[in-house]
Amino acid sequence: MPNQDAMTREDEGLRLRGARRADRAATIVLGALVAIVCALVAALVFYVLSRGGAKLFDLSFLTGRPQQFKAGGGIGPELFNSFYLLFLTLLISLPLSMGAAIFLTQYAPAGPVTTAVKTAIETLSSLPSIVVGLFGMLVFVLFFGWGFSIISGALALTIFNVPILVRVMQQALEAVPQGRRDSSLALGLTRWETTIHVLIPSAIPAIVTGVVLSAGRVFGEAATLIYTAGQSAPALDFTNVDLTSPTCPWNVFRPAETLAVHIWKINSEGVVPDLAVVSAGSAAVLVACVLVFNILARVLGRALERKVTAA
Amino acid sequence: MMAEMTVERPVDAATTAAGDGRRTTDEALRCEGLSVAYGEKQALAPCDMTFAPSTVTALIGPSGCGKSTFLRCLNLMNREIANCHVGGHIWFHGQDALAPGCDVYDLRRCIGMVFQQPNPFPLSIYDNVAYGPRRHRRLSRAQLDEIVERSLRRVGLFDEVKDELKKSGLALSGGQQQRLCIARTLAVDPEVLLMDEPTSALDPISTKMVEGLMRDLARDHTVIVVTHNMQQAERVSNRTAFFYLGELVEVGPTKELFSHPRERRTQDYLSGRFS
Amino acid sequence: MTGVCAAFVVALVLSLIVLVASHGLATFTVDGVSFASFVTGTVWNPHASDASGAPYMGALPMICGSFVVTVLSCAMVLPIAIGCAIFVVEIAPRFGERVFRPITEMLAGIPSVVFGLIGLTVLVPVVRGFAGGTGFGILSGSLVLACMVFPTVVALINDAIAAVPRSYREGSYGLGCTRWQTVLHVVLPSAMPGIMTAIVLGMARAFGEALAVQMVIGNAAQMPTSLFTPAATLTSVLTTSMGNEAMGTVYNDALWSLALILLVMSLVFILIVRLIGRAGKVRGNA
Repeated sequence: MPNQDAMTREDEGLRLRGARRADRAATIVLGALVAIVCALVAALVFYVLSRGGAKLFDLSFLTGRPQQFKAGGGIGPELFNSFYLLFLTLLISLPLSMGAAIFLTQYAPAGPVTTAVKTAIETLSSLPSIVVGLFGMLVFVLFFGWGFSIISGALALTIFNVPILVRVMQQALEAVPQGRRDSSLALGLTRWETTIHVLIPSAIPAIVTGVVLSAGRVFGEAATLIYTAGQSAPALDFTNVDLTSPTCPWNVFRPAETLAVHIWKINSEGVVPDLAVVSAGSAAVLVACVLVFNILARVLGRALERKVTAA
Repeated sequence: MMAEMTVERPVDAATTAAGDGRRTTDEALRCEGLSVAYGEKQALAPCDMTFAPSTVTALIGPSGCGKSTFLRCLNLMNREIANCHVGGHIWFHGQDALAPGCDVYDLRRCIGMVFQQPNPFPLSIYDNVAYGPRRHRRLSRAQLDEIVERSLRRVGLFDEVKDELKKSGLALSGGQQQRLCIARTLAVDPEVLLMDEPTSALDPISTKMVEGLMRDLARDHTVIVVTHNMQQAERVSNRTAFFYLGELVEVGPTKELFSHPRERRTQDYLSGRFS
Repeated sequence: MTGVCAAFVVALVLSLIVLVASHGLATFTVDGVSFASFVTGTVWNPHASDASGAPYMGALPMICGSFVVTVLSCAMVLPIAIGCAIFVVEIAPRFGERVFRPITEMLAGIPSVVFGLIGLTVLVPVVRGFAGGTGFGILSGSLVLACMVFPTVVALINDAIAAVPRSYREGSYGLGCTRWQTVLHVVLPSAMPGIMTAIVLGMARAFGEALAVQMVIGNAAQMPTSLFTPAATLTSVLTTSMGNEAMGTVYNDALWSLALILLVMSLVFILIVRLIGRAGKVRGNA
């Protein structure tokens, strides 16, 4: 400043010192905030795992039958139902979302069609899961008359899962360098061949990571299921292979309460005498499974990445 | 405060009006054994250079020769890059800018920087120019208006934009954006201006305007400019330094360096044998 | 062939909207309840009828409950999420990548019933301890929701801040501004559309969350008057009542109307996100 007097120079000095002090204070405050958040999350997970931790290795709990009015119930059928539902859901939703993702990234003509598909997926991804569950009840349970059943639950979970998977796959496919795609097309391969032989192999690490992460979310989902897969778990007989029998584990038309639904149900009904123990144990099993999915997603993704880049 | 040594700005620099040469000594900035490494990799071998006040110094050399790295050291912009190590000394007003206690923020206010790509903030034209002064001083509306107008006039932009100061800085053309960035730098009243290929993203007409501006600014600023363009170096600079492969090869008055380079490598570069 | 998958998804969404809407509107078209009295009535007891024979179908307590827990939880999350995102993007990026992100992803993976359970066993007793009453209520619900939406919001804000061009930061540093000044005056304003999108998506998630809220809010369909008294949300009433009412009854139709409100709100949230995106684009090009 050409006509800067002593007053403003002093003011400038103060401002500078204030700015520096604010900078340092902000760094400290934000650091403390992040530390607190990390500590809270760690405490939360530790709390869940430690409270029910003993049950994680208790075979009679993991395989036992649930009890409604007595203490000492297990979660055997629920655990099986959770995995079976997850498997069926992935079986249906993987091809569907792969198709939609390939359409969106490779074929979609710019224009109203693509916009419609994108809007639909966006809408689906922000729908409350309870609304998805109610829609599932309306269509699969009542309209198709499948009742509270595994198939109804798996289809409802598919609706819940598809937008997540489509987004993951779309991002993975878009991340493949354009040059790789162009060079394949330049060799005279069709778009479909390029997709199958070039794009998907390059994108597979990211896709696997995303799919396994989404599996964790499906595994813990309950709101979608309470009115589709039902809230009761009939005893399962693993020697029964009659697919129409309600005790056959593989029968897709039997009702199937999952682990997450079980936690919700026993807590809202509150009649099981050892409610606290069972729900703590179930929660620990649930969280442990989800953590395993998370770690698996990372490890698998990294291993595949290494294989793809080295090959 | 204990750890804060501020770079004292001499009274004459602050009080003399612009235009008549603010410094009397022949040294605005001096580097001594300045070297840069990114992790293990040396990007710039130790070099010495002195910059005289009220001159334009051009730094030339092929891509990746270390000229931009050198420039970014001068106001410690590479402090913002992880694992970048700077050695040696940068003497500015008798103090070493690389000494541990020296204040980066103060130094950067005295040694301003203009970047290769025009980078106006997504704010209005007015707020762009007022950004620095607002952060550094408490100013009345009138004082701020005056600074903004003076800075914009200085870069010849005021008459072009005076009716739309509220418009986003991003709405201007490339050349106008770059001049806006120069005005933004001038608004905090630096003594030294570092310019990192300031015209490489501009069209020829804007380039000409910015070159004229550099010459004009050199009346009361020390200007150091990195350029790819040897004709530009010849047109605007008093002194030129040639960098090659992370090394300062030679430095001298522009006319001399271009007509009688001392080093073979300089000669080869200037005659276009490599680039 | 892939087009079939895409078409299927579109058909699915359309049929979902049509079906829920047709059931939800039955309250007004078949049962003759007026829409205005439905959204402004404060008494919810569709089994009983008032003197004129119209059932007590005021959804306002649930609508209020849903909005209050949503706004409260997001108001709690927003400053914390912005602070954390600034720290991990601007101050300690390596820590952010190696520690903070895995931790928030872990939080995001925890199932909502587990959050509900933690709320039930930890939060509710604590709230009961200092505020008295049952401990069930809006505050407990908001706190549980805050934990649940935090990972979503922080990840989105993170992306928004990281997407601010480096050149903006350099410009500010080049003028001798401190990191905090740069963050406050350049980075945050530039990231504002992204931050707003993040918070709206967080609100959408909080608004639609069912079980965790239902487990701690107390499920009393009364107008929320205090943070500590039991209340209800649209989702909690749906969760608890849908199984008990036969299809086609007036009560059941009313529940579908609540579901329709949920659906419409989630569409509104998407619309807001779209508008923010469009406004951001316009500003960027201008």
